[in-house]
Amino acid sequence: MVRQRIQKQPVFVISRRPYSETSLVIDAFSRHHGRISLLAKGARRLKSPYRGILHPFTTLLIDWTGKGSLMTLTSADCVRRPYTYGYENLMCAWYANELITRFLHRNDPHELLFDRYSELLEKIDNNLKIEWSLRLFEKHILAETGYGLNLYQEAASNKTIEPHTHYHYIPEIGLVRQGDAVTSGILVKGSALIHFDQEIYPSPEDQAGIKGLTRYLLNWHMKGRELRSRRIFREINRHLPRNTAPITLEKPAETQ
Amino acid sequence: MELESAVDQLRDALKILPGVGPKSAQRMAFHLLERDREGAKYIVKALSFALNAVSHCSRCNNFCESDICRICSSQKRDQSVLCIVETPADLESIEHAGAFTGVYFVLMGHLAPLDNIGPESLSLDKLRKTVAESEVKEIVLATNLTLEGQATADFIASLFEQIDIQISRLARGVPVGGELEYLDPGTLNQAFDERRRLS
Repeated sequence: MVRQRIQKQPVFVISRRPYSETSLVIDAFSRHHGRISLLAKGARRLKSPYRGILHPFTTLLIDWTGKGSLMTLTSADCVRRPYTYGYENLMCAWYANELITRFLHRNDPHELLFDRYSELLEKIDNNLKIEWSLRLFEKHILAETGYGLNLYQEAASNKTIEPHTHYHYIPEIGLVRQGDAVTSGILVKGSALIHFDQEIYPSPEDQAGIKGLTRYLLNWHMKGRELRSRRIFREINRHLPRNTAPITLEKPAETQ
Repeated sequence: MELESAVDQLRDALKILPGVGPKSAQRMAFHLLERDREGAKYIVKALSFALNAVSHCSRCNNFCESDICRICSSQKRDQSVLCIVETPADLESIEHAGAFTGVYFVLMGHLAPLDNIGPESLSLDKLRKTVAESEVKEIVLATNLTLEGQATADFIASLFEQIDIQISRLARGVPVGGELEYLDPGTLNQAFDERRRLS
């Protein structure tokens, strides 16, 4: 494998963990190189130039060198002010990061998804349709990783989806009209599918249907393994005082 | 065969230590067996003694060898101010600086969904009990200024927001001796957001 020297790449840090006494191993999402692992030597030293910038949800321009699965970070510059979320919004952003680590393979570029992720962080920062943005991000991550959803026509007949009809979404098959002797998959209303397909903000009822659909599909593709951030959400809600509104990936009072 | 499996077992056991991979574990195992058997016996003794003797303080959750630790039982400490830190190492740093005279609570971690660490790993029930049973008037959140640390601080603040306790957080901004030219943008932004009024 050829030793590479890559320069000025836009990335987001997805997660980080300490390595040896003073270094960090960074799992980053690069626009042009996909998910990569980088060793940031000395990043935990008091006078490290990386100090304070190698955090998730920070837009960075970085250089790296090396070969194989762990490259060495050689330079990092912060491009914009880091997003600083409260813990509720942070949980939503962490959820997106977990989807990236679970669904994207290493060194597989997804430029469109990188841009979508960047938009998602901006929306979470502005408290703007967070739940809806997460649903669209779930759809995009499925599409980018080869599990794209056919939401506009029935699988067998290619008939266009009707808003007032209910359909079963069956993984690897697609949409089957309710009543066509099908019991598997998840039942979703046509109007929800149309809104989700055309990315038009749906009614609360349709939004719940879309949430059920993406949750079902993510679980199916993860073969029953649970997303850690979802479990942590549940734990957090159990600990909050009784008359505090529970936090969810969706915010009832979010700005539309 | 017997010897080989014992060496393998030692190598596997040493890999449990943080930052120790297969190579380092092998080096340590061979060193202990070949060069320093006395040292190995000392490690065994110290480890076994520590495992039996060390538990968590029933108030502050820090490591301690009795029911209540030295700091919690001290008459000189201000029991009305409770400083919440992530790790025993953070507590030691604050003690070393000598800036704080109250008592502590050690969470033994921070919220980190990607590492599977949630509220249930952070001894929050014990924290509630400590706050309910003592005369705490102020909680100082001294978690790390990382995303995880700040999320943990926000979450703990929300746990106590309905109780009549003052909640504060360590100041953020320009470090002592810091030159603005060399500060990272995050710190500089925080310093402006939390600038202090002089007159």
